[in-house]
Amino acid sequence: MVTEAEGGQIAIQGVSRTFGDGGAEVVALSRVELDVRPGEFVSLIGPSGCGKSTLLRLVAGLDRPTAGELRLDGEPIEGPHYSRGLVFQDPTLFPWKTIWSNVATGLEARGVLKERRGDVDKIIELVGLRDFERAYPHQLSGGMAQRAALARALVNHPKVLLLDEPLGALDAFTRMNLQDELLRIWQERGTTMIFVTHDIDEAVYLSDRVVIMTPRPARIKEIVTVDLPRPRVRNGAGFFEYRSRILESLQLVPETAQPEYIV
Amino acid sequence: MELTGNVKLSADTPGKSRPSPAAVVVILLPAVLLTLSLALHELLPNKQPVLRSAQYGYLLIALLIAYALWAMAAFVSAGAFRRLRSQAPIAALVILIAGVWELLTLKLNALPLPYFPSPVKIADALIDDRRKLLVCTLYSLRLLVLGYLIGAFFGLVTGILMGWYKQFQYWINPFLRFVGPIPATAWIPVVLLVFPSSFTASVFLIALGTWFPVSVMTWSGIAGVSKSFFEVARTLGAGERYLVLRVALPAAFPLIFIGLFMGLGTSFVTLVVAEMLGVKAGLGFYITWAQGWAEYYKVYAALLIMAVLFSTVISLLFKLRDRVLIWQKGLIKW
Ligand SMILES: Nc1ncnc2c1ncn2[C@@H]1O[C@H](COP(=O)(O)OP(=O)(O)OP(=O)(O)O)[C@@H](O)[C@H]1O
Ligand SMILES: [Mg+2]
Repeated sequence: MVTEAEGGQIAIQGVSRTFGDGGAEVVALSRVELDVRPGEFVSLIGPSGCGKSTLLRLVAGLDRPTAGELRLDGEPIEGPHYSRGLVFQDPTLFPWKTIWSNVATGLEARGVLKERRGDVDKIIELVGLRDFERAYPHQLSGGMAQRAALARALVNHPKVLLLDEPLGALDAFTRMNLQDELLRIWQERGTTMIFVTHDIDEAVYLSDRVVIMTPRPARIKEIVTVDLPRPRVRNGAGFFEYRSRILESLQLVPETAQPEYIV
Repeated sequence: MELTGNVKLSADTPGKSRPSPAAVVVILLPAVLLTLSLALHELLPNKQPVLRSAQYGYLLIALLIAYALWAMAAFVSAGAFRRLRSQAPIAALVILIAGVWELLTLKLNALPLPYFPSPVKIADALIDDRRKLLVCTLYSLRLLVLGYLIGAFFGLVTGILMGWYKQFQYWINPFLRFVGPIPATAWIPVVLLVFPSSFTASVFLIALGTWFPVSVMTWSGIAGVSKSFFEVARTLGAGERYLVLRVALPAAFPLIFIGLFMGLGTSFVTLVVAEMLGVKAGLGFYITWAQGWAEYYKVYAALLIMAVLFSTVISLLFKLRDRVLIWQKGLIKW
């Protein structure tokens, strides 16, 4: 497969996003600063409603910031582009397409499918869906559907892959499985990953850096660099250390409604 | 269902073990009824005048032979057996109705003529007037296909534009709401004045009647497509053309199909009314004409052809839907 690193660099500079029409304004993001290095794996973690999805949508170009700027490799982000792939928690596969066609969507939309049909086969192989190429989405399990969604985003060889709680709806086993596959793909391709999650273990297991966000007005509270060798052990001593550090950081957040982090 | 079928299958076919007595009775029923009908037809004297009594008898014999062949196939093929087993009861009922009908009309003269002719008399019309009926059928079909396709095409275009562009929706919506609900047939007096021929006028009416439901359903189908489909497609590099034709349209197809189906229903009505009132050809025209001569058996013959024709057209539409909507579960079968 592709061995050269294809990751892009993301610069988020003073980005704010406010929702609402005059009366009740919601400040979803307030002056967020973040630089993501090419090929880096960064997780965003924070209480519900703190603006993680909003930030991801801004990077994807599906939404525009109220203030500030976002750049990919120095170029301002002005709208969606296939160099920035997005995977939601809900796989959102197109129900009228087979798995193969779903995965091929990006190439088809860009008009390059004819020359690159082989890429579709390869990526389907990579995520282990060979036997389900001709199935329709409703015939897949949740885990398989999420693999297909991943493959669909990867077929374009994005420089940055944005993942919004992509494993959030899966059971623990499928989840760990897919975490490992995600790491494998990341290491193989060198794609820059921005990964939103609610799961501290997942964040520590996957990331180079974990970005912890505060509730409204959402800004970055702390960035934890996870300095553990890969492959990581989920029950190692170092692992627990990082885990409790992030827990602490989250519990210090001055709002009370985060019972989900008390393990 | 599937399972019991398979169990029966393995019990029936190999080793020449016999099907259950109940199954045998059910399968024999249509054959018995056909034989009874034939006996009734041949042995009782006719009390009404008909021309093609002999041919009707041949028809019954032909059906009997066809049924026997089917039953023989069922001995060999398990699939044919299952089909036969499930279709036999309804076939029996239809044969019974035809038999009773003939008894009440031709054999007993219990229903008043000319309003309630016997099936044999209707066969008279189908055989003796076949050229005229064929020509009329072709005329109707031409009008229907032309009007329907034009209407469906413009309906799709209108619906897509309304679903996709707010501006277009703003300008077209009032007209669609105001003009659309008028039954197309109500325009007949006006349209006959404006158009150069009754043919073009009818094509227009059928197209108009089809256009309205197809537009509305396409529009609401496209307007209702989940936003996340578009977002995903856009992050994958899709442009507007792709979003409309490859995302919105297929996502909206279940509703579009309902519009196409409703449009087809309206176009049948419009077709027949137009033919009865203005066009000098077609099955609708044939019916009015036959009624004028009080030849009701011809009216029934035309109705029979209409039933076959329209039902076939609807089947085709459903076939199309099954192909397009292969990804959906639990579709009703036509
Ligand atoms: N389109 C919108 N219109 C108005 N408010 C919005 C919109 N999108 C997000 N918000 C608000 O912005 C805030 C941040 O939302 P966001 O979805 O980014 O949170 P999140 O961190 O992803 O939460 P979760 O962890 O529950 O997914 C929320 O208060 C939400 O109500
Ligand atoms: Mg979210």
